[in-house]
Amino acid sequence: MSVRQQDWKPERGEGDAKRHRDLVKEDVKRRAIDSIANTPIVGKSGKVKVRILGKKSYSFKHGQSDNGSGTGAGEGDVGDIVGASPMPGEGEDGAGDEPGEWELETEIEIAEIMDWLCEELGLPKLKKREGGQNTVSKTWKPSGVKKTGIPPHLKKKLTVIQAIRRQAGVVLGLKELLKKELRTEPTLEDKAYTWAWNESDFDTVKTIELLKKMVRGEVTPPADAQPVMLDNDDLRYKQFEEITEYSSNAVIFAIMDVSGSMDEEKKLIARSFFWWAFNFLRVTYENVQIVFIVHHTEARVTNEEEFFHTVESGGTYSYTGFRLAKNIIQTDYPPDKWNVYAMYFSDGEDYDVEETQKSVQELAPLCSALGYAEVGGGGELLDHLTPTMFMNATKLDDFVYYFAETDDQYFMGAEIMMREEIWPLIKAFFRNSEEVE
Amino acid sequence: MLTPEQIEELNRFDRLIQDWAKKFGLDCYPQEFDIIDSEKMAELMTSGNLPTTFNHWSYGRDFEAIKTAWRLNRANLPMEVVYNANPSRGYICGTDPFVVMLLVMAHVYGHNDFFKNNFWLLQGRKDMLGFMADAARRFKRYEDTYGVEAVEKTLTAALALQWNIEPFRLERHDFQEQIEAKILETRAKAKKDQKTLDLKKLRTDLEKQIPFEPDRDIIGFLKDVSPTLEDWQRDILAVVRERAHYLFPNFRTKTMNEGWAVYWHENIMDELIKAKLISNADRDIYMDTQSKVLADWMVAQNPYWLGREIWKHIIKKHGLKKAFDVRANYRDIEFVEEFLEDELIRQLKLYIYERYEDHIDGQDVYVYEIADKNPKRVRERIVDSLKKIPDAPVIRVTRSNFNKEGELLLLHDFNEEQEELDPEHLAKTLEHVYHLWGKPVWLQTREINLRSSSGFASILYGYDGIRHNKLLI
Repeated sequence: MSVRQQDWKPERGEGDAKRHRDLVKEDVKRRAIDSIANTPIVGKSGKVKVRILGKKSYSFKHGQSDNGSGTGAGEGDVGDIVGASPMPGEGEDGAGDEPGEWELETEIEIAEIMDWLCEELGLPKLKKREGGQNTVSKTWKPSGVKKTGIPPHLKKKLTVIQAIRRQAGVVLGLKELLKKELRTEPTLEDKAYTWAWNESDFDTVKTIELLKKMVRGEVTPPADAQPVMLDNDDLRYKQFEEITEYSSNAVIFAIMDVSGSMDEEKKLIARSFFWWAFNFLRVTYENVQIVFIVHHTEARVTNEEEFFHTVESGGTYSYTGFRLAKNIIQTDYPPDKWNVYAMYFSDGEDYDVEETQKSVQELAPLCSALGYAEVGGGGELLDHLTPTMFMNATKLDDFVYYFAETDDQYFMGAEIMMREEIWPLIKAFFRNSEEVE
Repeated sequence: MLTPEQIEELNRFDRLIQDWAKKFGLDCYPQEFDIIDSEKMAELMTSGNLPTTFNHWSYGRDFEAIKTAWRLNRANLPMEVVYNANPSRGYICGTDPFVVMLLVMAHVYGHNDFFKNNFWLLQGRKDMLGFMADAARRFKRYEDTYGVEAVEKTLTAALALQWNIEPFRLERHDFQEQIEAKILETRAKAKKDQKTLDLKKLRTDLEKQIPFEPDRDIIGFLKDVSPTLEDWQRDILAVVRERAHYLFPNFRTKTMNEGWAVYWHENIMDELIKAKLISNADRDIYMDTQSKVLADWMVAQNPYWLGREIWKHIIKKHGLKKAFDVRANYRDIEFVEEFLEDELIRQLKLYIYERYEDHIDGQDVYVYEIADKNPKRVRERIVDSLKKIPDAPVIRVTRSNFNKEGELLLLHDFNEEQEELDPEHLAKTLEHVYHLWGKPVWLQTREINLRSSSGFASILYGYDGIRHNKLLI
C-alpha cells in the first residue's frame, strides 16, 4: 500500500500564523474594528474574520521595471486588448501588486480582541475609577471620628469634651492672671471665664478687664452663658464606613438620529461602535444591557434590527432622544445601581439646538460617560455643544475630539468621518478612565 | 474521509499507473502518497517547499494568504504537492473528486521521473526532508535557550539572504587554506629576496583581505567569516543556505518539470480512459480540470501549459529519446532558449503584453494589450522572467574591512544585469545583513540618473545599525 490516508492537522501552519498575527497586531487591531461593522451587537460571539496586510519579507531583488508587462498566449494582433482586471485599490480586496505584500484574512477570537481593548483602554485603571463611581451604598457603619461632616452626624458629647479640654487650660490661665491682678483669690465661676474670654474675642488683656468688672459687680454674665464655648476646632463628627458592593450592572444607551440623511455607511459606523462598546463593557461588568433609541421628531425605543434599519423622514429633534434616555434611566436604570453609558450618533442636523443643549446637561450627570459622535461632517450640533458643555479639544494620536470632565460626569463629542476613526472614538469614549489616578 | 474501499481502489489504480509509467519509459524512485485535507495541504504549500521545516512567521502569513485566496476563489484549490526525495513523497487532497486524485497520481510519477533523472536536481540532497526535520528540532531548542525573538531575528535575516548563494555550488572557499597558501608564497619570495617577515602581521593583513575573490555566496560568507555570530546562528545560516541550494535547481527547472508531468499524466489518463477504467462522467471531470490547469493565458504563470507545449514540440520534431535526454540535462533557461523556436512561438500565438491603467464603468482596471509578437523578443522576455525564479540579483561580497573598520562592502553587478535593485527591499535587507555582520554594511549599485552623462550613477547604500545612508559616488 503506497497510498495512505492521514489525519494530520496543520499545527505548524497554525502556530506560525499565530506568530505572524502577533507581529502585525497593530494592523489586526485596526482592521478588526473595521471588519466588525456587520456583526450584530447582541448575542453573537466567537470569532471575527479580519482582513490584514501581511508582514513583508525582504530580500535583495530587482525593481519592478516591467510595469506589469509580461508574455501571453492567444489570438490577437499588436494593439489588441487581451484582458482586463480590477485594479487593487486602497483597502480593496486584491493582493498587492508586489509579491510579499500579502493581503489575507485571519480569524481572531473576539475574546482576544477584547483583551487588546482592555489593554489599550487601561482596564485596571477603569476599574479603579469605576470602583469609585459605581459602588452602591448598601449600609453604613460608624468607624471613627472626623473633624468635618454634616450636623446630624455631630458627636455632641465628644465635641464638648474636646472644647472643655481646650478651655480648661484657658480658664486655668485666666484664673492665674486675675489672681495676680487682684492679689486675691477670685470667686468667679468657671463659666464666667469662658464667657468673658469669648466676649472679648479671645483677647487676654480685654478678658482680664472684663473679669475685673465682673468681680466689681459692674458686669454680670447672662444667665444662659454656656459653660463651654465651642470652637470649630472642637467639632467632632461621626465617621461612617460605607458598606458598598461592586456594582456589576451596566447599561449602554444607543441613541441614533434616523432621519433620512443618516445613510447606511453612517449607520454602519454607529453599529460598529456599539458592537465594540457593548462587548467591551461585557468584559468589565457581569450584566450589560443595551437600550436602542431612535429619533427623528420624536424618540422611541426599538430593537437592534429596527435600530439600524429604520429610516424616517421629517424634522430632527435631538433632545427627544436624550430626554427619553433620561426618563428610562430614572425609571429603570437608577445610576446608584447601574453604570450608565450613552452614545448618540447623528449627522449633526438639529432643529432645536437650545433644547438639546439643556437635555444633554440633564442627562450627563446620570451617566458614567456620555458621548456624541457627529458622523459624516457638515453638521452643526457639535459646534453648539462644545461651548455649552465647556468642552476642551484634545487629540488622541491623530483623532481630534472634545471633552468635558468633572468629578461626576464625563461628556465627549467628536466628528467621525470614516470607519478608521471608530477605534479612536472608542478610546476617547472610555478614556475618562485613564485621566483618573 | 475516504472509506477503506476507496483507499483500496486508489492503491489498485496506483499500481496500474505505475505500470503505465514504466511502459512509457519513466524511471522513478519508490513513490508514496498521503491523502490529507485541504487545511493540511495549505500548510504544506506554504512551508517553504518542504513539509518538514522550522517555524517562521512568513509561513504562517502565506498559510493564511493561500486559504484566503481559495476562499475568495482567487486561486484554485490545490491538487498535489510532491517532494524531490528518495522515496518521493506526494500529497493528495482527499476532498478532490476521485478522478482528480488519479490525475494527480499520474502527474506525480512524471515529477518523480524528473527528480530521479535531471542532472541539476541530482545535485541537491535526497535526504532533505530528514535534514530539515532535524534542523527544525535544533531551532526549537535554540528558541528555548536564546528566546523566540532572537532565533526569529536571525532566521528572518537568513531567509532575506537565502538566494544570495553561488547557485549550483555548495562547497565554500576555505579562507584559512587560502591564507596559508599566500603565506607560503610570500615566505618563499621573502626567502629568495633575503628579507625578514613579520608572520603575525602578514596573517592579520591577509585576514583583512578576505574575500580574495568577490564572493556571491553572501550567506555562506557571513556564516564563515562574520565576527558577531554565535554557533547556533551559524547553524541557522548553514541550514537556510543548504535549503536554498536544494530548492534553487527545483525552481530553475519548474517549467520543464511541470510540463513533463502534464505530458505524462495526459498519456497515462488516456490509457486508463481507453481501457474503460474511467467512467464517462469522471472523464468529463478530468477534462474540465485539465482545461483549468492549462487555461491561464499569462505564460509566466502557466509553466504547465508552456512546458507541455515545448515537450510536445521536442517529441514531435526530435523524438522521444531526445526528450528523455533533454529532461536529464537541461534547465528551464536552456530549454526555452533552445526549443521554444520561432515557429513554435508563432504556432502557440505567444506575444508580449503591456499593462495600462484605465477607468471602465466607474472602476479602475488594468487593461492588457498586445505590444509585440516578434519571436526573438518574446523568447527573451520569457527567459528574463525565468531568470527571476527566484529573483536573485548578482551581488557579491567584495570587502570585509571596508573603511578600515571591518565594515562589509557588497557590490551589485549592474553591468551583468542592467537592472536596478528595489530600493525599499535593498534598505531593509541591509538591516538584516547588519544584524548578521555586527558592523556597518554597504552595498554599491547603480541607478538611472539623468543628470549623469552615462545615464547612470553609482550609489552606495549603507546601514550602521541606526541610520541608513545613501551616497552618490
